[in-house]
Amino acid sequence: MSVMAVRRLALRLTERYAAEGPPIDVGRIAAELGLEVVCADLGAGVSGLLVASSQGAQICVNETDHPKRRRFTIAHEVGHHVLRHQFTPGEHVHVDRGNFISQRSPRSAAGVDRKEIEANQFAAHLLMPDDLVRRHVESLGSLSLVDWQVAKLAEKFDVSEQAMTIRLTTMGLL
Amino acid sequence: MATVLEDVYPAIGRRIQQKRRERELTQEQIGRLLVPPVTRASVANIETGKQRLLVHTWLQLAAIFDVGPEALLPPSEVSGTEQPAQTIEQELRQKLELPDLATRKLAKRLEAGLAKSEWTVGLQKMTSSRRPR
Repeated sequence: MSVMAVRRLALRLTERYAAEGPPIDVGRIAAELGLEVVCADLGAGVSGLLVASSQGAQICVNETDHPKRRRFTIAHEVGHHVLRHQFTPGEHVHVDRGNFISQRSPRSAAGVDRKEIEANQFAAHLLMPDDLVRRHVESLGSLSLVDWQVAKLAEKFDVSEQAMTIRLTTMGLL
Repeated sequence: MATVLEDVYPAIGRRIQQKRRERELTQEQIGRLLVPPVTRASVANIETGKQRLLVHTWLQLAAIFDVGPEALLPPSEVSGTEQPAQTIEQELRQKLELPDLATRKLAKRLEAGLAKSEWTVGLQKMTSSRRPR
């Protein structure tokens, strides 16, 4: 799937919430998709699960993670779901490790890494939609953003400064 | 049956590896048996799906293993006889490093959640272009 297609899907989901945000209510988006979000201790190094069966699907996030991190994880799992990412046949549980890149080499050969990249792009677009970010950057009134302004934007969108920095950079605003 | 590009070759590779091990052959031996011969690394790449299997290699491998060529194709999802679906608890046990009790509790919670989720409804909502006013 192209970056444009990923972006388009995220935008379609997020545009009706953009008027109310930021921050984007990712929990509500998940709920509207019928994805229940469960918080549980998943052990060290695991940020989230997408659990699916013929009956339905749900997202599980690590309760020990920072809330901002959990928001990104939910958005990432929503991405896997919406992008209809298929994992191994017969598999119900998709595990996302902290860095969102699968460490198992046979799985990277199976295109899993590409799916993780897509889900990350989706999450970034969902939580930080282009128009909304642009508008808020413009409202800051300066041409070049400085660190505290990035922090402020991150706070406004309820994402980590790291996620906001990456987003602003890919948008050519930083 | 896996039909997507990135799924097919790893699935075939796993079947080849399985058959090779059953017959107690090394990757190097397989490489030497093929005509023209290939390196051990090449066999390894075929088994991980990094290298796409050519038809003559496929047929030769089937002959080496003494099976029909279809035996090396990915298993059908519909029949599901080759890979019985695992329970969520089994998968969590394999994939997470949680204490036994925590794994069981989590599996119960997830299974209960799945039973009442309405994701098909959600998907319909999402694909509808009409926005709520």
